Amino acid sequence: MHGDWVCGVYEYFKAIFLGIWSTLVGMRITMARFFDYVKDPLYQGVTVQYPTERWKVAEGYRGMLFNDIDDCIVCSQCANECPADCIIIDAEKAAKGEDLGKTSNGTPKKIKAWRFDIDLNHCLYCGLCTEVCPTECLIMTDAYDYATYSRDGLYLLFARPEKYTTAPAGASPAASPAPEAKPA
Amino acid sequence: MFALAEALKMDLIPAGLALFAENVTLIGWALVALAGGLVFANGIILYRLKTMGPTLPRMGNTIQLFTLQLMPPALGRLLLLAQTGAILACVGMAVPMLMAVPVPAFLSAGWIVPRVQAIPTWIVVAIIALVVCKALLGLMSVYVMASGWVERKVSAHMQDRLGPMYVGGWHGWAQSIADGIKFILKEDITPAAADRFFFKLAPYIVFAGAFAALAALPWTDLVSSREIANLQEAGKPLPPGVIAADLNIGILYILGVTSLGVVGIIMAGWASNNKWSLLGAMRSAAQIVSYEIPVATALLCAVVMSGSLSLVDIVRDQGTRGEILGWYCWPWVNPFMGIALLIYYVGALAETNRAPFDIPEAESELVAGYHTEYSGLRFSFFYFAEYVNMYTCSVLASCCFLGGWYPNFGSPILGAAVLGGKALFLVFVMMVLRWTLPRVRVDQLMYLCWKVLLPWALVCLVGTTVWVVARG
Amino acid sequence: MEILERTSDVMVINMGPQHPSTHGVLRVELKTDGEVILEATPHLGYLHRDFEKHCEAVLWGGVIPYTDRMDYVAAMNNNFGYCLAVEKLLGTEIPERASVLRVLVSELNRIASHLLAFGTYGIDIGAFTPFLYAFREREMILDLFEHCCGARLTYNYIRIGGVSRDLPPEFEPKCRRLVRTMREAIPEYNNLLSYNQIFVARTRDIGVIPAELAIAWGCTGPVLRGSGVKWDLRKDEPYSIYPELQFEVPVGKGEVGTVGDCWDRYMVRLREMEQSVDLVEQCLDRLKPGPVMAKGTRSVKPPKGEVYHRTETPRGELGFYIVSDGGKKAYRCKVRSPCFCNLSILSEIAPGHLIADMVALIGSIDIVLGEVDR
Ligand code: SF4
Ligand code: SF4
Repeated sequence: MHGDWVCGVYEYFKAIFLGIWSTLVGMRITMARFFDYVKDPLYQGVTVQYPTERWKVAEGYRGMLFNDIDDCIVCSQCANECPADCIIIDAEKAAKGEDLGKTSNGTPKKIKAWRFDIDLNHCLYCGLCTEVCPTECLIMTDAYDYATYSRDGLYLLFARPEKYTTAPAGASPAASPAPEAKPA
Repeated sequence: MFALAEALKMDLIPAGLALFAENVTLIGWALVALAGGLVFANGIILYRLKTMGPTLPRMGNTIQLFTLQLMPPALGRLLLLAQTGAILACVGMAVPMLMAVPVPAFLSAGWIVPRVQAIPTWIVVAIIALVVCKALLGLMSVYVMASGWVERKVSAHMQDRLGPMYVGGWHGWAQSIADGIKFILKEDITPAAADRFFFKLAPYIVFAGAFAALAALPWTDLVSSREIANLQEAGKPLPPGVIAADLNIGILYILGVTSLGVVGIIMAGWASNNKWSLLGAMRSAAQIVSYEIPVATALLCAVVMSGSLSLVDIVRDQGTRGEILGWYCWPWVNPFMGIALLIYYVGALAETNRAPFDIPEAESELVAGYHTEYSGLRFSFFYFAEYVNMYTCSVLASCCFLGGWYPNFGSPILGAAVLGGKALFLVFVMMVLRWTLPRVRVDQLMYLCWKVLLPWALVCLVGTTVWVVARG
Repeated sequence: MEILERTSDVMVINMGPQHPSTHGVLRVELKTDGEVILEATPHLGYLHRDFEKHCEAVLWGGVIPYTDRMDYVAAMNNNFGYCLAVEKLLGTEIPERASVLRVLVSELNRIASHLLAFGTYGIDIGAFTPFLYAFREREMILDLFEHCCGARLTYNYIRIGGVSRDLPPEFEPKCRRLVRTMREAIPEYNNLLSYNQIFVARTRDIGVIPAELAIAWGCTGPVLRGSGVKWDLRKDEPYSIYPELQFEVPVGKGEVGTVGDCWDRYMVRLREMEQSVDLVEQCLDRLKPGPVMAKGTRSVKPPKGEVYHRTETPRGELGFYIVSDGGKKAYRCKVRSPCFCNLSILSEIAPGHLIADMVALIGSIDIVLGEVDR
């Protein structure tokens, strides 16, 4: 019993002492940071004043998708690979004798895309589509701030059917307004 | 009361002071009247506000309502709210003013006096009170805004952030002003299930409670410590300090009115009809009621040392002991006062609901505690009250333990700066503590109060008394 | 009987789904007597996105970005678990460099995840500053990930057969700097929070989970180790290159209170961070040039069969049970989620604590609702 009592008193004073001591230790850390915040070069880059200063993204950043449609051979591999089904392609074989030109690496184009849409609302930014693209025309840019006022702003239309000489049956050659995404 | 007011009108300073000294019991009644008046005035104003909303154009033709008609109703109501807060604070201040007004000397001279005497007494008093109140309100608004900004910057830099950087250009100095405007423009929401009357009343009570304490806070002194010593030797009366109301029960008054705030907090928590708010309010009641005791006991040590409850006297006593070496907190003046300062400071943190004792508003547990449901201007009243309370506590600590406005070398301006500096430093320490420490739990808070702070505060009190008696 | 004896009414409080400390959209229905909890019932499902059904609809490789979204705080570890399961089905050999890289990034992600757990636990207890210190270091890790895979949160880096890209040259020096920084930072965290007397008082003897109870409820990860059970799949059922690496498995020892209290679980995470820093350094030393992707894993068709593979994520044992019918897509995929199992113990240990302890309790279990609900 006697021992318990002594132990209790010891604990009581120890708790008071530790309480004050650990507060001082904590304050030493926070105050040190407070005073040498400006001096410490290691952590200077944490805060970026966003709209005026811009974050420099790393090489190979996976941002907004972009398709250089002139290089696209419309092989539809990207659409097949996409896990979110957000690449929508409507394509047609070129007519006999019709020359659709060549891609920048010399591959002749054989298919024309009436529609090549990417619905970024559904996109996972996984980059699988860009990895399978044989001509590397579909890339992920380093754009990362693309907030828009409506969802249509994130529905990207890449096809330019007005360049083709023949129109598909029953379709207007003008770029169609954003239709709903349909399963590929 | 009327005798007092009559005397005030006839012979402003000496008779007022004399009567005041004789009628200490009056002060007790005045405190009761203060509380009653607060509730009553709020009731009237809130009733009018309530009826005014949709029928604003039909209301009478006073200037205020006329201007209100011209404004968009929401803005008008909010301005009225702000006004109400100010008026209430004034009412809170008027009572102590009634009791001991050091009216500026010019009122008693020349042609003013007869004209002043022709005015009904209560108007004179009310005008003076209003002027002082408005001045204090302005000062405190500046202080609250500045310290709000400083707190953000301090916390940000402690945490390797920058804090606000945009508004106003240089390091976001105008952020608090922008916030203030935002508070006013925000929609004033009362939850549908809330007890509307008390929900709206609560912020004013908290605000008035915090603000009324300023009446008895000293700012600086007009004479140097040497002159005071000389006057004391000659047995002459001392000139008043720079203080809105030099009560001879200053400390008691401050402790009394600051604890009015807890009524508002409970009211807010109850009336919000939100369980988190209610829990916050209950915690707050337990906390503030408990911590009053060690805080008051610690302050009593200073009272024992100086033999006076008036803050001006307490500070002057330290000045006459030595402008720097005579502060009560030094071990050679009294070995117990240092501990008492620590106890007071910890208790004050709890009384102002600052971390690590911010359990009534613990945001990670109770969402936002008692002010969960408040928005806009009403929320800003709570915010305002918190900062004013911090300042009050810091000034009290500076006055009772850290030598108040000394060393001031006889200059009132320097004295004000020194006192302000000490108080703001203590506020700064509060901020650092807030951003360093985790929050304690309710039962630990009670343990700390009843088993640690209170016994040691009593030890300090007894020790101080013995020390004073032993040293004569 | 208990209810009859009480003099006051029972108050029902909804903690969540919008509450600062439920770490997402968890709703806990509390029955309290004043502030004392009598009953706590977690309600789940607010973040359900049907991961398992998705797996049946997308290609084998396309599942990986969806695993990122389960435990979004430790996405690398989720990628890793899924890929290992599919590779087990396929029987693929992984190139040496790819294996090292996988362990490297998943240990980095373990540090990032524990940093978040540490920081948010500080906030739960009321200390805001440790959170931002933790984020400062976590930011460096996210930068590293951005360099190696181009994304900061949903990496899709570990693929079936290897990893998606090789490291850029600036990765290694930055990573070594991170190792140095972390070694300085962890003692700082300990001083600032772990041994702070208020923090200790808040977490000691709170939410004690005895070892048998933890095992009975299927707890894994730091929750199980906090109760003193030395069980870490990296040691006990090693996968990838873990058998070749040296590290300790920290367990709760009840230094400040009872074994298995909140402080133990918290401390296990901090100690694991130290171990992970060592592992990262060992991986960096082992990096040799070589391919990072096995051949023929572009579009896989695992043979008919089923497989269960479990890995140790920062939150515990993450298991993937996958059935293949030999097609391009999975026939069935079932996830054994560590957070879900850990969370289930809440209703068992919460009664009798205060509401403030409830916050400490949820924080110490360290759930990520994305994984609980999937
Ligand atoms: S990034 Fe992924 S989700 Fe987005 S379009 Fe490409 S494959 Fe589809
Ligand atoms: S994979 Fe590349 S080339 Fe093929 S359709 Fe897609 S974008 Fe065009």
